Amino acid sequence: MSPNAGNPAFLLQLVSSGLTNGALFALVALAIVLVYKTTSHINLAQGEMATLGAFGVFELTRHGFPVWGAVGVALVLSFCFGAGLERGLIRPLERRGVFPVILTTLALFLIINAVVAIVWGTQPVPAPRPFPNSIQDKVDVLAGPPPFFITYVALGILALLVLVLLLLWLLLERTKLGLGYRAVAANREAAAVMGIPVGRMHMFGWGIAAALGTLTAAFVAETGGTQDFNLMGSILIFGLAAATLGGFDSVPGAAIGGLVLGLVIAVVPGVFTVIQGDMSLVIALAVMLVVLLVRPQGLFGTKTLERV
Amino acid sequence: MKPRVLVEGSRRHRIWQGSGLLLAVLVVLALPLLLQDFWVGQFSLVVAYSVAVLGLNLVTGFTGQISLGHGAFFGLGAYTTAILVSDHGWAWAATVPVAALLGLALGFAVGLPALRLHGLYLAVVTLAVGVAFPVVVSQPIGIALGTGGVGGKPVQITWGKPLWFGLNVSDKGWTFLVMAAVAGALFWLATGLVRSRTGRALVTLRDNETAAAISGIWPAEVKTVTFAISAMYGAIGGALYLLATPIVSPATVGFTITLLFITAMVLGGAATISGAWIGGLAMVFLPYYTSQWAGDLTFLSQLTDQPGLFANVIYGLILIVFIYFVPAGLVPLLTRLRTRFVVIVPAEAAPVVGMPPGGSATSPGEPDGALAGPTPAIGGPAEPTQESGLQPHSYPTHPDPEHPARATPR
Repeated sequence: MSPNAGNPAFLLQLVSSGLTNGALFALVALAIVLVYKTTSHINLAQGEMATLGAFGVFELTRHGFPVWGAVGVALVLSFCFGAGLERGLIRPLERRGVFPVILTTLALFLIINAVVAIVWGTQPVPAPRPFPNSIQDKVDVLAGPPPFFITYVALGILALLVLVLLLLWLLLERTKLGLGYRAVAANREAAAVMGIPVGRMHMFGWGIAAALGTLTAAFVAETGGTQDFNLMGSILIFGLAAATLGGFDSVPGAAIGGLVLGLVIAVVPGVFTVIQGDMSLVIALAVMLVVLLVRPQGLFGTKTLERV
Repeated sequence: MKPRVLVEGSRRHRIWQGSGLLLAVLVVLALPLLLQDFWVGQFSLVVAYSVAVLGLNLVTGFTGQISLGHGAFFGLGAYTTAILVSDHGWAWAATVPVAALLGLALGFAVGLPALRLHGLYLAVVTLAVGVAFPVVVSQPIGIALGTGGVGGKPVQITWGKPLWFGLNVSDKGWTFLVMAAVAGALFWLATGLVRSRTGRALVTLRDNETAAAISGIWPAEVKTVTFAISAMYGAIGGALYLLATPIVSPATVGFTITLLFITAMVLGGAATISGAWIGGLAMVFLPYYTSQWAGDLTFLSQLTDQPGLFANVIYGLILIVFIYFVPAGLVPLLTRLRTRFVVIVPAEAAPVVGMPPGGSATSPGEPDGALAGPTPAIGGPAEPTQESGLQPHSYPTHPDPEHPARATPR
């Protein structure tokens, strides 16, 4: 046990950083879930597509765009890119099953990763900063010592998660488009029979997921300060672990799974000092394995039944 | 031209097989005799990669499970050997069983929870393993075990050619021949595995899990064991890798190499044993020539200081092209090409083929390639292949006892 384990400021700091990272994991998990719900595919290139989006933001800000304007343009472009990939590359393979699709997303992973490294170089570049990010941009909670404070970035990311969830809820539950999306997610064939354009709903899912990924990558880059072509390499794993924890077909599950995973990853090494170095990926892997052993469908997922 | 028909198991078939084997042995012996040490080293890498790709073929091609952590198993084997040889003074040969057992154990630990379930869970979990492994080896826990951190673990294994070996090869050539012999044994074992009862169980699982379960195959057990064996092949490939390269570092066992293994597997043919060789060749020579080519073209070399990245782009493109147009891989393509000249049919089909109805258009084409046959693992057949003139008519009356699954589209 850490000697600091009894210190409230230390624990609060762990919790707040855990929740901030967790919110980023949750956003990635949301992107994965949005693709999975309708198509039953996992887009392994999600992280790389997001990295590409983050570099899009970087490139736009370098050409004089205001940061939030650049983020907005990048979101629209990512949406089109994601939807286009679904239509052009994924859908022709749809009827051949899961493997060709997952292999294609792996190919995309390789290509996008290499292209980003070729175009923007392999050295990290300073990331654009949508939120104020200087040393005094924080809210002091406990004077300390040790002090406890929350940065604006952390608050902004948490607020962003709430906002994204709210917008998704409105979109999926309150619009006709969302109704179609949910119908395809619930039963693809029945939805097709009812006249819902299944393919367009898949494109919609991919597009939203890609846009969400870009948004996430922009903030992952901001929390790290720099960005390079491997920006989303491990975050993708955390997102997958969060989606496993929450259930691959549950939007609220992805959010809660991400936050819980963030907390676990922050608190476990913070309290048990036996763990040295950055073992967060191993903890994520352990969480995944435990979930698959105990409750394979995740906390909020639906159990799949196989009919013969 | 009318193809020659060989009946499986006949003397002529054995001669055909034997001459193929002899040719392979001669090529392997000729490589270190004819080539410079640099190229022998490249072919040694081919051998190491081929063994690892073979493991992936077993689990993905034959069993239909997708494993994205093969780089980690490869790395586990490589690091085990490196640490035991460098820090503990073991002989290389003694480290191989340890590496293999560790690979097997990690394979079980990862595969057991994931393989009880369906579909993508193994992909997700192994992906996490594949990404976590290179990170862990550069962390304090890895360094405590002797991995050497980010810089990697150097290891010196030098073998002198023994006196009794008559051929005039260099020390490197001798190492290559030993590696090739080990790999040959592993390929032979894998061939035996897929032709055995277990192998049939694997293919049945891939093609229809429910039907397999009804037939008394326990899916979780068979899949887990196969996955562990695949991990073991990966680990042995890693151990072999150190005979070709004097260092292993986190960068060389990262997630990229997993993707390259997968591309190599798809390229050669996922549901084939011999496809692994082609995959290994591609893994070594494709980046080599791509970097050269990208270095030669000025407008490309101006873009980046790392021409190796172009190889990754080309890998990705190859993967997509193969998934779309050659989903079964190169080996089945070559087999089909060969059936224009030589056709091998199972003994049961011999009377049918031996007395062709029209005399000319025998085209028995299909009964080739044993289990892997015309069922491509990647994607599976969308529709029954039309090339067999024989089967659509003869199936109802003469069900082919060797290949019952063929007439059952998924």
